[in-house]
Amino acid sequence: VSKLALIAFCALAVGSAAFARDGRIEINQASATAGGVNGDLAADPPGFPVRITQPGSYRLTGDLLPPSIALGGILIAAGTDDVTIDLGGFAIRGSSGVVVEPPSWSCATAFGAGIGIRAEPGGAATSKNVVVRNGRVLGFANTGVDLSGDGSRVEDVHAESNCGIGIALGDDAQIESSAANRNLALGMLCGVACRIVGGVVAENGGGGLRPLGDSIVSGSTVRDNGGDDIRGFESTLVVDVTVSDDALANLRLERGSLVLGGSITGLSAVLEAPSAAWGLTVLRGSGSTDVVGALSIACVVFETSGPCP
Amino acid sequence: MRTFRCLVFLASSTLLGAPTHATDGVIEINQAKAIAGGLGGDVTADPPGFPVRITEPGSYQLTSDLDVTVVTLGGIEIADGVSDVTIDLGGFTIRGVSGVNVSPPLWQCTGGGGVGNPAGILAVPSAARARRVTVRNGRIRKMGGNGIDLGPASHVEHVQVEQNCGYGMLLDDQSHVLASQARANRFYGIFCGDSCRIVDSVASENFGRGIFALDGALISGSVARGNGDTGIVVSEGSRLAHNVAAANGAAATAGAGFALFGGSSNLSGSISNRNDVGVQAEASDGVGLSVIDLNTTPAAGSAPLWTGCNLISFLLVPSPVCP
Repeated sequence: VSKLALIAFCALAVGSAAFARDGRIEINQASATAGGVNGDLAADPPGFPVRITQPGSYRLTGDLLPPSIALGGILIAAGTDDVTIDLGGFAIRGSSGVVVEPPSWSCATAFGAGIGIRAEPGGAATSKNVVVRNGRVLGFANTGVDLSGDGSRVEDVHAESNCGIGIALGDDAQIESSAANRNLALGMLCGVACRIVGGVVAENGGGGLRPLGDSIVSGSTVRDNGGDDIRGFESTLVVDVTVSDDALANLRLERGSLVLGGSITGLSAVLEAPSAAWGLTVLRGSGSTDVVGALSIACVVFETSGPCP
Repeated sequence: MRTFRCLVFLASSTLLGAPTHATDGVIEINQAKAIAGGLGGDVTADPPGFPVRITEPGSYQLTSDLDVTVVTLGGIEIADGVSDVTIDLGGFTIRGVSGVNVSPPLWQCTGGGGVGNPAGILAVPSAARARRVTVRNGRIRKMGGNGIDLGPASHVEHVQVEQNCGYGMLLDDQSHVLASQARANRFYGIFCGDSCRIVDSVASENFGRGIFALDGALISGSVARGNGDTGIVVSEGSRLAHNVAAANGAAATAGAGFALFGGSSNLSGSISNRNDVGVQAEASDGVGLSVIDLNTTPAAGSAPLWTGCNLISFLLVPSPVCP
C-alpha cells in the first residue's frame, strides 16, 4: 500500500476532516446537509442554515443551495464574534429572485425568512467583527448579507436578486470592491462610521446606498435605483462617485456633507445646508430641478453659517 | 488491525514532526504549535507557550485563532533584529483576556490589562528592532497591552485591533496602514511615527486620539469617530485628504476633529462635525474646501475653527471667524 493511499484511508477511517490544510473550516453543500460545522450537531443541526457557533476562519468549498425559500444560507449565532467567511469564489444561492420592471420591483416572497448570511440578532451580543469575502450571495427571500454587529467588513462580494437588502452592515463597517444589484430593497445599508469603497450599485428597488452618517462613499458607481441612489445621513463624504438615474432623486445628503468630484446625471440632487460640493459635474435630466438646497459648485460653508450664497 | 496500523502511522508522523512548513514555504502558527513551542525548529529560541517567538525572517500564517489566556503574555513576538517578517492572520484572531469598557468619558480596562503588558504582535524594541514587518488579514483583540507594536517600515493591512488595553496600533516611522480598523482601544487607535501612510481606515471609540501620525504623514479616506480625544492628529508637513472626523472629544476638554501641529500641513476635502473643536491648525497650515459644522465651544482662548489665519488664502469663501 502506498504511503499516499494509507494516508487517504486513515483519514477516512478516523473521520472526514472539517479543517482545511490552512486551518480554516470548510463549508459545502454536503457538510451543510450533514450539520455539525463546529463538530456539534446540537449547535448546528443537519440542513440549512449552516450555524456557526465558534470564532474562526471558514471557507466555502462549493456552492451552497438551501432547498427551501424559507431557509437561509449561513447563520452566525449571537455571541460569536470574530468570524471570517471566505466564499472562495463560490455562491450561496437561494431560490427566490427579483423581477425588475422599473418603476416596480417585485418578488414572489418579499422579506421572507431566508437570509443569505446573517449575524443572528442578539442586541449587544450580535456578532461583531465578521468578515465576508470573495463570492456571491444571490436570490434569497430576504437580505443577502445581514451583519448588524459592529466592525464587519464585506469585500469582493456580489449580492444580487435578493428580496430584501443586498448588503446590510452595522456601525464601523467597510464594504470594499463589492456589488449590490437588482435587490428588492436597498443595495447597501451601513451604520455610522462606515466606508463604502469601489462599489457598483444598480437597479435596486428601494434605493442604492444608505450610510447612516459620519461615513465615506468613494470610487463607486450608482445607477437607476428605485429610491434615492445615495441617501447619506449627517456628515457623509462622497468622493469620485458617479450617480445616474432618469427617475426620482439621485443624491440626497443631510447637513454637514461634502461631495468631491464625480458626476450626477438625472433629475435632482439635494444637499441639506450647510454642505458643499466641488468639482462635481451635474447634468440635467429630462426635466425638473437639478439642484436643490446647498449644492453649488465652489461653495464652502462653515459652522454656524446658513445656506450657501 | 488496520485501524491500529493507521493510528501507529499517524502517531509516528506526528512524532517525526508534523510539517511546520506549508507546501508554499509559509510557516504555520496555531494554538497547538504555540503551546508546543519550537516554531523554527528550536525550542530554545521559541520556548513552549506564549508568546510565539519568531526568530527567523520569512512568511508565517495563522491556521487557528490564538487564545492568550494569561494577561501578562503577548501573542507573537518578533525577536530583536529579525526584519522582513510577514504574518498572514488568515482571517483568524489573536485574542487576549482583557477588554475595554467604553462608557464616555470613561474607558476602563478590564481583565487586568494595562500599561506594561505585552502586545498581541510585538517587534521587540531595541536599537536593532525588526524592520519591514507585514501583518494582514485578521484581528487582534482584548490584549492586556497594545494590539500591534512594530518597528519602522511596517505594513498593516485589513486588520482589526479592538479593545486592547494599550494602543490599537503603535507603529514606527515609514509605516503603512491600509483598510484597517482600530476600535475601542484604551489609548490611541493608531499611533505612527514619521512619514507614515494611513489609508482607508477607521478609528472609532478609542479613549485617546483616533489617529496620531508624526511629521510627513499622509492620511486619506479614513474615518475617526467617537474617540475620547482628537479624531486625527498630525505634525509638521503632513497631508490629510478625504477624511471624516465626527463626534470626537468626549474624554478631553477640547478634542478637535483634526489637529495640525508644527505647521506646513494641509487638510482638504474633509468633514469635521460635532467635535469639541472643528480644526485646530497653525499659521503655516492650509485648510481648504472642507465642511466644518456643529462643533461645540472649545476651551477659552482658542478658536472653534482654527488657530492660524493664513488659512483663508486656501478658502473660497471668506471666513467669518478669522480676523
